[in-house]
Amino acid sequence: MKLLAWLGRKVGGALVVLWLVATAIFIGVRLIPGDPAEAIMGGPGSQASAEALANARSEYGLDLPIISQYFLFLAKLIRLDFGTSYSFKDPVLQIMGEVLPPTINLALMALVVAWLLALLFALLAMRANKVGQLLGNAVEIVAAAVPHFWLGAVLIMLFSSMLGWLPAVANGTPAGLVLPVLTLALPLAGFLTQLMRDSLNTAMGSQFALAARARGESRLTVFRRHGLRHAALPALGLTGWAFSSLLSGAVVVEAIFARPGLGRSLLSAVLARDIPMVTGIALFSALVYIVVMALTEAIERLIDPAGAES
Amino acid sequence: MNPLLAVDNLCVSFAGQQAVNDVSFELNAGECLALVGESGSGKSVTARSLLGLSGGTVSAEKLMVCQEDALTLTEPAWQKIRGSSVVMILQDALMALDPLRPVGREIEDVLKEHGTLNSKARRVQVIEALASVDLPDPERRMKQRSTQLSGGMRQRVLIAQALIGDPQIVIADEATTALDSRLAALVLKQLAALKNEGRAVLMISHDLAQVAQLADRIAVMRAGKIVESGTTEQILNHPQHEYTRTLLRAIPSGVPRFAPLSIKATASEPRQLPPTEPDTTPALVVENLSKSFAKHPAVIEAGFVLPRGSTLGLVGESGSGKTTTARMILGLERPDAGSVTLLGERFVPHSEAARRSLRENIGAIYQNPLGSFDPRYSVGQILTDALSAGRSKRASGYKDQVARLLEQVELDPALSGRNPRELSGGQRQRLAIARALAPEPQVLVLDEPVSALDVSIQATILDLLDRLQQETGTSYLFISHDLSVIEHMSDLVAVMYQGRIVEQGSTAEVFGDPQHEYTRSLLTAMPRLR
Repeated sequence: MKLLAWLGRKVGGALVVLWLVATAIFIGVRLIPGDPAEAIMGGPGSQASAEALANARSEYGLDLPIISQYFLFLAKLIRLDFGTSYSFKDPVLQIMGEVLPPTINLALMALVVAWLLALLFALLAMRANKVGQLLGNAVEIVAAAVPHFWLGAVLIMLFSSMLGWLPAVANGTPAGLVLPVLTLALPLAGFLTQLMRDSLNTAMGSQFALAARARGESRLTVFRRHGLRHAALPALGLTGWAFSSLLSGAVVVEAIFARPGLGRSLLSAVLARDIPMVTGIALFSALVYIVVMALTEAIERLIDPAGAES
Repeated sequence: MNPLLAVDNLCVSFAGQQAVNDVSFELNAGECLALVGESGSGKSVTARSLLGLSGGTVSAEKLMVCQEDALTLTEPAWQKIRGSSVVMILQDALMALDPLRPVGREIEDVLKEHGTLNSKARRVQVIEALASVDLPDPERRMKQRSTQLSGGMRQRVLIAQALIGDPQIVIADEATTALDSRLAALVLKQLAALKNEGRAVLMISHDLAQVAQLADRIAVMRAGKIVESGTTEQILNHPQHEYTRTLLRAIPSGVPRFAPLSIKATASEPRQLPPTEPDTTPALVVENLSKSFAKHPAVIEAGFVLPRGSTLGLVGESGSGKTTTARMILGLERPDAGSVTLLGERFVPHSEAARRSLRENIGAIYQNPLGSFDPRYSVGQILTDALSAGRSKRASGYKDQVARLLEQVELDPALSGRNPRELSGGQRQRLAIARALAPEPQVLVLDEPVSALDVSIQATILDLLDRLQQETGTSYLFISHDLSVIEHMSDLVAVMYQGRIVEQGSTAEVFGDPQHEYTRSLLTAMPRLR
């Protein structure tokens, strides 16, 4: 019953947020200078006739008063009708169905790899001596600070140009995924480890960790039973944010590794003033963010039911 | 019979710093030894090295734990002993249990480490262990986390966790410290039962009165060394070492009001009655204060009168509503109902603007003063800030006044440039008192002012508070869970239980002839040496 109420609250909240995002996008795209009808006809270079432009306007409802356009837009959204892309001339939903999976795939894999790396780092940091700790700390800070485009270029240079181990271009094989995923995951792993290390050290130095050692548990067992939970909590809270940053990082990485996906479509859509595409992608990004936030909150509640209540 | 613990010339050092120096003792089955000393005396390090968990460099001529040579034990061998042969009960039950895990799991971990039971059998054992320490409804409680349990339940869980491994040696590291007398009595009763079952109990504590109830022998530690050891009777009645006498003298229970507890304090003067004031309005009148948090009543119709120049002790266990009452009196928490009158003028409920002019008449001192000091302020700046009512922190204009305040609380005026973090616990509390005294308040609210301090430091602070009251005629609202402190410090006592003041009267009445059931249970549980 508690769970149902929580779910209800989440869904209600999500709908409100989506509506606000949709409204912001509706206003935002209309602030872009230029005539949308021209964009429909193929941009300013196409030199469409006045008649053709008028036709396009009435076809896409651009001649209606702005308030009617808004409600029409909302009504269509409710029916999951994002309209037809100006530039691709296909329904937006269909295009997104094609470009989304590779991007989400990339971001999710990067997220998983980043968490695994962060846990590994944290474990190593716990076992390391003072020098090792300092060294690890430096590596994490550097990893968290490097930009994707630089890291991507360096990884390509290292592993494909010099060593020739991995392909530089995403060619659809699993090997082709390694470098893009690492490029996205390494900075996040550095950041997550920084977050975890503090709470891990606090937990491992706490009275309950001492009590656990006094029960006969090895340091590794204490790490597994106690340290991990405490270390994961703060990092988990930021994972929702991390995932959305991964999505924007994916735009860059897709460009570097010539991967098809959402990022490249979004870029071309913005450049072409393709309002339905921009709207669809932005709304979708908001939805992803909301879903990931709800998921991380659910995991947090599993780990720390008392903390989530207060 | 071989002793279960045989320690000969144990030394423990941390990075060259000697924390424990040539400590020797023995402990037999069915016997209780108490290591008594102040924080930093090395008693906890000694206890931890008996589990191989000191974290420092250990050397000894002999270190036998359950007939095994602990000096040669490998880490896996230690892990086998810990939790089964030797167990440790830690000080703070809230901190000693992982807040993110159900308490039943914590207990079950002992069985996971030592034994081959399947999960079903383990759970049965956990329930049995919890039932054996009288935890009500163990099936439900074992699934809860420590933060969802009351203080008493947590203590029971902690003991169950120690018992389930069927240990030969139980080390109780400050296991009764900071507990109110009923909880402390509960822990002592459990430890006594363990002793009677033939287990060896090693108590680590700073409180002589508490260990005296259980210990057969007492070893007094100071600065890493055992300065005196003997039977409990010898230590209590014929202490040889000066330090032991200091510790004994510092115990406040049964010491008449205003009689000094510390040696340094100026010789006891007969109490000067506060100068006959023409103004006989009480310092503080509290009427029907009530407060609920999320529909849970925290304070229910609390009321009392604090006459001028005297001390009212508010006593009760943690969670009884003492601190909420104090916060309402100070105007920091808005009460749902009731009123507070300060020096005859309305203080609560009132607008903050109207209250401001009265604020300088009431001050507060808390258990942990460090948290209430701006970490970037020096001692002098903290006092200047208080003297100027927040208008200045530049020490130049207030130098003399700052020095006078520091002298008043017996602090070296040379400390004025220091950061409060560099001060000891006792010095910090003196600084907190000096700051509270800066606006020359008529009333001080002291919320557990000595609970975080060692007994001997506590004695000096209590003596200081006594002296200040005699000099300035300030009225104290003294809040504590510690009955012996309350008894020594108060003219009047109010006993708080589950949000209500269940009994109040003069100290002699309440301690001599308690009327309420709860007060009686508190008093029977109270350790007394005098």
